[in-house]
Amino acid sequence: MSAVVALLAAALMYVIIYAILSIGLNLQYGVTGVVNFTYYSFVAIGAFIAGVTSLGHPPAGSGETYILGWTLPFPIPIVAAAIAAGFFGGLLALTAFRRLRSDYLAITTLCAGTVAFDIVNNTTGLFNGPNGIYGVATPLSGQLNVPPQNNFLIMIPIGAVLLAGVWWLAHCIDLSPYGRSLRAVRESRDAAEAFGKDTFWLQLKVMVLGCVIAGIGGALTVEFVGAFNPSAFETVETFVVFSAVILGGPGNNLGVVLGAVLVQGIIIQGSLYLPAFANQELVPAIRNSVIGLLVILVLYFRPQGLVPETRPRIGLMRGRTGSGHSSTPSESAEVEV
Amino acid sequence: MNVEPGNALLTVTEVRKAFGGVQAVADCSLSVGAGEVCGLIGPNGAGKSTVVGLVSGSVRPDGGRVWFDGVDVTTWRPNQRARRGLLRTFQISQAWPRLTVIENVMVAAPGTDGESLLAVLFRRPAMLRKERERWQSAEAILEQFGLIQLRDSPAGILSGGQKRLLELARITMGGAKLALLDEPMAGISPALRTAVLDQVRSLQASGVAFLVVEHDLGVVAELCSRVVVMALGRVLSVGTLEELRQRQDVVDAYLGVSNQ
Amino acid sequence: MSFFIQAIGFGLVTAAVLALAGVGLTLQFGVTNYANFAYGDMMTLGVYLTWVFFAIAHLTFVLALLLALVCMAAICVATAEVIMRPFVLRGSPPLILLIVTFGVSLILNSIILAIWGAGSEAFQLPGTQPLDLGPFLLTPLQLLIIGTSVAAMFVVHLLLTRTSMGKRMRAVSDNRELARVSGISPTPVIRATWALTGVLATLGGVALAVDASQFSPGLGEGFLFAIFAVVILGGVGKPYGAMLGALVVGVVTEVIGLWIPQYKLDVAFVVLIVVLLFRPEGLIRSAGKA
Repeated sequence: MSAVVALLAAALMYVIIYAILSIGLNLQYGVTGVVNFTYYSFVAIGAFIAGVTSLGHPPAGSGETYILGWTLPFPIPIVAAAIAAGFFGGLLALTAFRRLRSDYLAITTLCAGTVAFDIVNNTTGLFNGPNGIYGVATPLSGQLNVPPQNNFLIMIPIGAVLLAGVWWLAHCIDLSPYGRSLRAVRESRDAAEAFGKDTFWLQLKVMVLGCVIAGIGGALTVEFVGAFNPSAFETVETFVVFSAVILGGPGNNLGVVLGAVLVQGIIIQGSLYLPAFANQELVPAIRNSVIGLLVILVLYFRPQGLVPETRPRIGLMRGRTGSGHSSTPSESAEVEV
Repeated sequence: MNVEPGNALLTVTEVRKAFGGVQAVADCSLSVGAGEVCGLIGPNGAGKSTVVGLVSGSVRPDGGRVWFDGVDVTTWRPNQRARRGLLRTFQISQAWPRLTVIENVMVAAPGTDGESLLAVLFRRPAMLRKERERWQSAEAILEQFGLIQLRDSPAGILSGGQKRLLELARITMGGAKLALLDEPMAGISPALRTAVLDQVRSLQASGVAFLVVEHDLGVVAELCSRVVVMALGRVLSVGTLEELRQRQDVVDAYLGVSNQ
Repeated sequence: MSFFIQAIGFGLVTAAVLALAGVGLTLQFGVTNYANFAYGDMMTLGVYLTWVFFAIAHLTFVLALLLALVCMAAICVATAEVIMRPFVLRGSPPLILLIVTFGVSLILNSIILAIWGAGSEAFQLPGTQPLDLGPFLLTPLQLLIIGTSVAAMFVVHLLLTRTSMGKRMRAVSDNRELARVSGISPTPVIRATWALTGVLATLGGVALAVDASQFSPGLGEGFLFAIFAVVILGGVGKPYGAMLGALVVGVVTEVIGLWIPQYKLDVAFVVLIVVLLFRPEGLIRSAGKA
């Protein structure tokens, strides 16, 4: 019984992490139209940084090597992870956004991801090379006296609070002039520029913000799982987050969270319990091609996703406009776009 | 032609631009006074679109200067020029299709208040107040442009002519000193054509200057007090449309062809 | 000094691989006007098909390769027709097309993993003993790669300059609207381009696998960024630019690799960033896609 609970709790934790990641990617891709094909690299940066700022120095004789080796108390490693991921996101954006075509941006991010993988994998002094970091303790587990196998008791509440915070942030942006301008950049960069929007700066900020959220997701991952290594951030991982955003509904926070539930909670967690047959790559391979195919089909038959983007009729003016135009229907109604 | 930088609202002096090996604009000087409606005509390939790009800032000139509102804006990006009051429409209407009509107008509001995380999170009252003002002026503008019934529709569903009106509404909201209209009559129905003309006239009456690139000489005749003719990347002549019709070189280059 | 010259020799081999793959990618990018993120997996699939015909069906290597070329040409055309074309016809924005090719990449990679597993395979061809060629130290196989690449580039050159289809390809790549106005229908040109892309991807992939002496399902994907560097360095849609770009990236990575061998390919990324920042139109400056 308790084993089943633990499995379900783990699945829930992964869903929470993916919901956070989807909201971050949605800000970039869904809201602003920035194609970041190496989103998961920023999750990895967050995971590694949260790890090396909480692990302490590697035990003597273990052969492990990594930078920092600090033992900072919760929640500082999560903050450090967010800052580091945001910093590198900004750095990438500074170079990649200098060209207008979205192809170049996508190409640059993809290439940066491959190179980041190579560097982490080949530099043992950074994050212990291909073996990665392990033994990261769950925050507060000592104080609260929670055994490692039940660490979801701590991580689910932390994750839920962070998810709520990230959601609220994204929601505020949606309803603000900021969110409106970001969407204008997505729809026509030229027109946004022609009406005084500094599109480079707007995109740069959203790139940093999305990567900060990715870093938070990464920190949660490493604190929950306890380990992270380079094999955990191949290109396919980025595509999985994209699939959650595209299936759920780009531009809609509720949609992308539903997408995270669908992709992570049902497809990925579900496939873990399928029996392995033929070779051990077969089940994940079939799962990934199903995700790829689903994304292509949805892009063709329902590009707006499960829950389409809605634009506020009254927006922040809900119940506040003095003009009271006669054609105003119910004030809280939203329009499907 | 004689131009005195600083005198007019917009002054372009001897700009040139080549793409690859093609000299799109060889030498173009022109000026638009405050409150004036100036036409820019010429056959296809004369370099009109490039001039639009050079004036709006999306194209960087190889040489020459652009002055706007008393300052040299040659190296300014389009968004910087826009903030000083130089706004434009596009040859192919660029509404933001998935934003609602009123949002399209509100995006064009001058200033960037509320466009940062700081404002979103910590200055909500100020942002809300500003939003309310924007909303009210946007509604008033939509009323004026006859688009109020479409206020909450996504702009993507508008007809070609309605999109033109929406572009003009955005220009009004943006507080333009000079509006650059790139073929405003392309692909719109006769009924809305009159509406667009009326709106341009009433904007002019409120003090907005226009530089209008247009193929339809009827429209040019109705709107423009002064017309610049370009051919092969150079300014051929400047004058009223009537004066230009008397000039043989202009007629040969353009007018004769299109009047046949 | 001799190390330096030897590195240039290895650089020529890498350049030969990059040229094969880069020309295929740049032609397709130019003609279809969207980047193809499945290209690396198309290369890998070509390698596995060659390997199946060679090591399992026991055909001669040349025959196996030819069969794989035909198969990959067909597979690429089919992918473009079945998956990409509906999106293009509907006028999907470039954003969507990029995600779709990313999805195709995932699907192809999954198919490769499902059929052949994640392990490494090798062609085990003879000719791996280095020969002393003056200043260079290259194996017969590496010489074969260089020879094949030079020959393939010559064939591509003839194709683009002497055949009507090749001329139409260049016209569509330079300016699709102008090409359409001049009566060139893009559909057959796009099909032919995808077929050529399949052929060049396979040649590039096999050359890469032979040079590295082994291959796994991640072969092409891990190499894709270097190919994109070549394409952007040469200018998108410019096959001769890609050849020049391949030469630059190949030699630069091997020479710098003398000091930082484990990061040598990552130098290609630095090249890419420098080009994007300072010369986005590529080495050869002309009116084209920037």
